[in-house]
Amino acid sequence: MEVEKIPVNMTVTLGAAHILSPLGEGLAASVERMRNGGTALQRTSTAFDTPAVLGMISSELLPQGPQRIQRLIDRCMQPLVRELGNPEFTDRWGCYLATTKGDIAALENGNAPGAALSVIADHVQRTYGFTKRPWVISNACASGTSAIAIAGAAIERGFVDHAVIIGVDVLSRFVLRGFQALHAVSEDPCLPFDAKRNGTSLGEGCAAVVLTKNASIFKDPLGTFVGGGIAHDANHISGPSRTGEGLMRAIQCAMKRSNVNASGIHVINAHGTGTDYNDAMESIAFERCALSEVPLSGYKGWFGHTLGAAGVLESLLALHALNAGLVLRSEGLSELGVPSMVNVLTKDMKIEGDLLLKTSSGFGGCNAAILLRAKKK
Amino acid sequence: MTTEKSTELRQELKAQIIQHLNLEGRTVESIADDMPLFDEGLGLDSIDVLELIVLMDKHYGVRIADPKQGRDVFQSVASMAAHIEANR
Amino acid sequence: MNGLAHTRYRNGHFTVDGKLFAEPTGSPDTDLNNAWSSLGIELPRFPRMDRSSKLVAIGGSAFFIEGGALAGHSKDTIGMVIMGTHGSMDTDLKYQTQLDADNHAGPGMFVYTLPNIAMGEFSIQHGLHGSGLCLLNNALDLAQMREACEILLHEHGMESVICGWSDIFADQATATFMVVTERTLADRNSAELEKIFNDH
Repeated sequence: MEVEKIPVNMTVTLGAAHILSPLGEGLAASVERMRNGGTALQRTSTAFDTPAVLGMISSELLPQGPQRIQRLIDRCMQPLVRELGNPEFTDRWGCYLATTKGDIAALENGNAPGAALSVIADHVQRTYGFTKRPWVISNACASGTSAIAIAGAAIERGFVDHAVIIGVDVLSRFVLRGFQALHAVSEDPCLPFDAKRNGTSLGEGCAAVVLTKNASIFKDPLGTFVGGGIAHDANHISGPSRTGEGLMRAIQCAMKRSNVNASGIHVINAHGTGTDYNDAMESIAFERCALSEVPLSGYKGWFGHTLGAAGVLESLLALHALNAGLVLRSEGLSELGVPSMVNVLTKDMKIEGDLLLKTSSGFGGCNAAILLRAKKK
Repeated sequence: MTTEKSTELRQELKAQIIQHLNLEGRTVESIADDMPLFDEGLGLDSIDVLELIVLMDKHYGVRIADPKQGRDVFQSVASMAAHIEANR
Repeated sequence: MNGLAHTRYRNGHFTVDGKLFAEPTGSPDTDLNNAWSSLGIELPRFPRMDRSSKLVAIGGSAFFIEGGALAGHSKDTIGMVIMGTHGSMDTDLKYQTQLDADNHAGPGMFVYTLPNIAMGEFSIQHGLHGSGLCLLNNALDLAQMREACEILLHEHGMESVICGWSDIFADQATATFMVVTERTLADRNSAELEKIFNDH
């Protein structure tokens, strides 16, 4: 059936965003950090049993130790709940968690049941008192963007009035060694879209945000959710479609849903992992969607690939910047090296527009795209 | 390397490929020395290249640093055997 | 066909629309292979997939064989919602065990250590480009499943959704898959759907 248009009398607003990442804590501080500094990726040989360049949350902000991912979530949820005025999370509140590996440390420590992703939902439901069972969406690296797309749709369908979205993942030997075995990580900080790119850098983080049909719950709204889409490449479980099939369809679905065409999109925040294939595929998809001219950045050059957190974290940072009339550069880019035409920024840029396209792509050939409108100051 | 040893190596490689890559239903006899391993032939993919790189290293002590180089080495069982013979 | 198109796998006991296709043998891996063979589908990749991917292939492929509910349908508008508890834990544990024992991370095994890979394999097998969600929960949550299906149908333009519970770990394997449309969700209440999921 035809993708329906949004009912005109409903606006889905974002607000109460709280993040913790290798950039530090808080959205405003993190964007400042991006404007004024280079990469937060660090070379380490002591974090895991193999040397690596990683985006690590400082141990002052989040000490190592048991239940680290639960503590990471709490670091973002506690201020979020306070900012909302400690509401009761009745059945009009949805909760959408996005994670790829959850508490993987539990598995590494011999406790496989403790690593089930639903354990994260248990923690959040129990700690914050959600009446409705939290969703755990695990669409690989497209989890975070998928969660925003689903939460926005859930509000539009009337299943809930408000939604808390939490994207989260922590660094682990499990994932690092696996990515190394796939030759998918660079020995240097990743260079999204660059001619010399040779792999991604892993990171960790948590990003939490609220969506609502009732903007008055926010003192300071961040923007609005306009539409989203999810689609599959159906090509290979770990290599993207060479023609950007799934990403193109996800973008088209988001555009149709939002009643927007390519010329209406002002900024793109891409997935940009810094691997040969991903960045090439994205450029092809963007060109196929007539988005070649749109200012585009990937943020993983600053803090790495935060997996389940990425879609949420990167959306929020990009939206916050856009609210200030800015598109931040794509950190790590010196010379563009992708097969199709895209307008990847090497410098921060002032911009008039307000419509942001965020895309994410993941293993399993899953792609997600969302359109968010900034609340310009 | 003698022709006999060369044949032995190729047969060994075929058995290892079948076992290592879980190619259930495949027999050593059904893999010709020069059968393309990728696409039409045996249907292996880029992840399989990585596994074969591990196999080369673990069983034969031959390292391949760059997976892109791998595609040439892993064209067929014959090319794999030649690479091992040259680099052991 | 009267009823809802559905398949059920319970530790080797495999039915398609209530008709028995395969019986348990006592060996979980043999059971998976037998259930797959019973569908008569050629897929050289099958033996190479991890167990979670095999179970989803078994649960969902019947809809695409001749006479199946999705045979001949457009591949662009078939969505997927797959829910389970263990996700990729069956493979995760194998991978972690190998990492601990040999200090070796196998690339072929690592690619399966995400819950949605099974859905990815399924989408490749059948050429499905539509929307999909991999959901994790500690038990079947039909309300959540329904909402997910409705979102894919109404917001992502899907004409039908393959929705299923799929869970495999150690020697336990359970899968219940069905095809739902707007019509299905309008006509059938949760009690009816629950019966299909929970019946043995």
